[in-house]
Amino acid sequence: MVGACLDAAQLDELAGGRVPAEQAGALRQHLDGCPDCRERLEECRRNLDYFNDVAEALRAQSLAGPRGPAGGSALAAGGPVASDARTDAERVPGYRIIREIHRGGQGVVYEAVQLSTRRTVALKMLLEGAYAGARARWRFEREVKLIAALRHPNIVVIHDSGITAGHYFFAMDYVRGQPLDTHVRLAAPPLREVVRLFRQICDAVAYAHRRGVIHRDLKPSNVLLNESGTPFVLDFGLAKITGEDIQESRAPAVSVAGHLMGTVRYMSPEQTLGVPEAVDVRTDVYSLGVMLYEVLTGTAPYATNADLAMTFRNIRDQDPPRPSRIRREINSDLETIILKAMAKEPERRYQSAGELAEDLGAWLDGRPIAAKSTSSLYVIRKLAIRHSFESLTLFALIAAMIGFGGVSFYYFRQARSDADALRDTRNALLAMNRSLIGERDEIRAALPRQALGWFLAEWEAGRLERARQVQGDVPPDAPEYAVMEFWLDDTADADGLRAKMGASHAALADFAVGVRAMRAGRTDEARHALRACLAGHGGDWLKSAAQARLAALAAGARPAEGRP
Amino acid sequence: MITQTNTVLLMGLRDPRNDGVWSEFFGRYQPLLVSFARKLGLNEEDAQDAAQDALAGFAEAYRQGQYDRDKGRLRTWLLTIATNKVRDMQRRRRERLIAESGDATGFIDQVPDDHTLSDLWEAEWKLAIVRQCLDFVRPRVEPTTLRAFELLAIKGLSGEEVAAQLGISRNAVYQAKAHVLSHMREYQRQLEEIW
Repeated sequence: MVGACLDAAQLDELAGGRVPAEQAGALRQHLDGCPDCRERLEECRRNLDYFNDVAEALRAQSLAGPRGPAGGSALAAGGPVASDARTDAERVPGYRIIREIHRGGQGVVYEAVQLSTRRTVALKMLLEGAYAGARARWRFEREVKLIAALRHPNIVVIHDSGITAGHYFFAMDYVRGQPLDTHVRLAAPPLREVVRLFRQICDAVAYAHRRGVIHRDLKPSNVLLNESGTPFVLDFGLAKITGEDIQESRAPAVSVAGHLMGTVRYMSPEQTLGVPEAVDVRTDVYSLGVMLYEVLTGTAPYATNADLAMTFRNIRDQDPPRPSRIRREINSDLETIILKAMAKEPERRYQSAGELAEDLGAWLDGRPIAAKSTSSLYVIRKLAIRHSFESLTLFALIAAMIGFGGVSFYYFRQARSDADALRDTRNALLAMNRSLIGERDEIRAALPRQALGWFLAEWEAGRLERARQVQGDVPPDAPEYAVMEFWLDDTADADGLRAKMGASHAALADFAVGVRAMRAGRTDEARHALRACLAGHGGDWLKSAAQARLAALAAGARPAEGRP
Repeated sequence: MITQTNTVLLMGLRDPRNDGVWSEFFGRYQPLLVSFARKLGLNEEDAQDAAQDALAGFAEAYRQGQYDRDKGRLRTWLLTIATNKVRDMQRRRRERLIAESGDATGFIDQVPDDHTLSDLWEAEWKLAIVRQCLDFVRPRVEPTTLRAFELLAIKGLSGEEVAAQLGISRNAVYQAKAHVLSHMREYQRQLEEIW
């Protein structure tokens, strides 16, 4: 017999196929001459199958057990482990899975048939899901309602969504085709053709922006071209949903880093700072700019690699090579459009995807474009700032204004001083994330009343997306939430609100009714309701807010322009 | 541990005064039913009620002679009863919600199809058996042995990690795993005959 008998560890590794090839030979030789060990190995193999069954059952239980739903939706928390979404997907009620299309950091996409309609759909299972708690689930549902309401010929329609066996899922149109970048690489269409295509994409994004939905994760793989060449933008708003889940469920470092890694090339400078609040429609404009740069020049504007710190720095500081140097056909107007879309500072970009689409259209038609090429004064100032120590201070100042100054500054300096250390950066990001969560929780715990003030400011200025963000931080059972809902819905009935609020919040209801009447120009109704608010039992804030509006009414003024 | 076969247990149910049999029957299937009902979206309280109703309903039907072993397994029978109870609960909850808020449109308020239901049910059943097996093994092995097994199976740790955490050799970890598994498999064979 060759060698000593196998120990339990060796047997287990052999049964599980985890023995390195160079060692396996020796073990096999021994097995050939030792019936005892062969028998033990057989037993070990039988055990292994059983072990996998047992482990799956137990892990499902330990995940579902203590954090079950508080009487939520039909197919709520519970079910198997997150590590194998395939078995979960096969349980999505009402669908039959055909095949797996894609498996990525966010989740798995299947081709499936919706049994009720016999329609072929793409079924996306997100890795994060129902274990995130009732609040995250509620956010998910609210967000999905917004996304599902998007109807545009170049946006993939979401038909259905829900939670099954611990995962969020979406069913959307199944687009047979290829991603934008693959198409451009393979078909090599003429320049004008690419621009025309891209304009359609910008129109679709602009449409979503007008409905208060920011994509947040635009990249070539999120734009599919079907067989007749029509582009479809996928995954609107999903980044927000999954991003929030990552924060809420305190997901492990890997998925945070993995999430960043996957999308980092199209991330805007403000996104690299990791401050979710800094993201707005101009973030999407930036990503569109990078995409346009890439599809037109065939190269990436910055070097991006596994070194996150360096990549982030490039995104924030480095000017991309001029597109016209890479492809001569790109004239100065088109170059100006590309570079304006991907300007570092949001305020220097196109202020909406619609403006970008507009300029692309102008270029196609040979009309003058709205964008101006970068002035030399600006370039000098920018250089001066970049190379002085003030840049750090300036950055910290901006960050502090955004509200998370300390952490951002820490992160920024960290990234600067320790450029090589990917791990450090990741840790800093995580620390920042934790700190953000802490701060956000504190803010949340603070008065929803304060949120009402913020909401009002945003709503009155017509910034609905931001107003909705504020609303998202208010618990749905708070009376303030109902008021925001009432303001957002022009058709909501004043008596309905009063009934819902009851006697204890009558003054707040009066205020809500008054404010909306005021915006609609129904001054008499507004005056009446605001006076009722003053006469009721509201807090100081409510009274002074009502008084201020009564005063404005008396002066014959209306609040900020631009009805929402 | 295995005190009664299913048949004996069921025969005992014919006698309403036989508390011992009833509580064993209850103890065996109640956690399973609660967990199943939870997966279908009921909250803890409603799930408890649904499980109680289902078991009482089963016992009652059984006493009236409606349960015919030849027609199907107990497992399938319980599934049917449990599903009906859960749907009752869901309907009641929906009605309550509508009465309270006047809003009937839950965004993902859907009842899974039969295929999904029976999958979920099978999973629950399997889990219940695994739990019983673990309960059987627990007093029969060293605490460290069981702990090593749990770390491997539930936490999904590697042999090295478990060894480091428990301060035992890697080989001891895999010995523990093999030991517990052999015990559990043996007991499961017996269980499946009577459940």
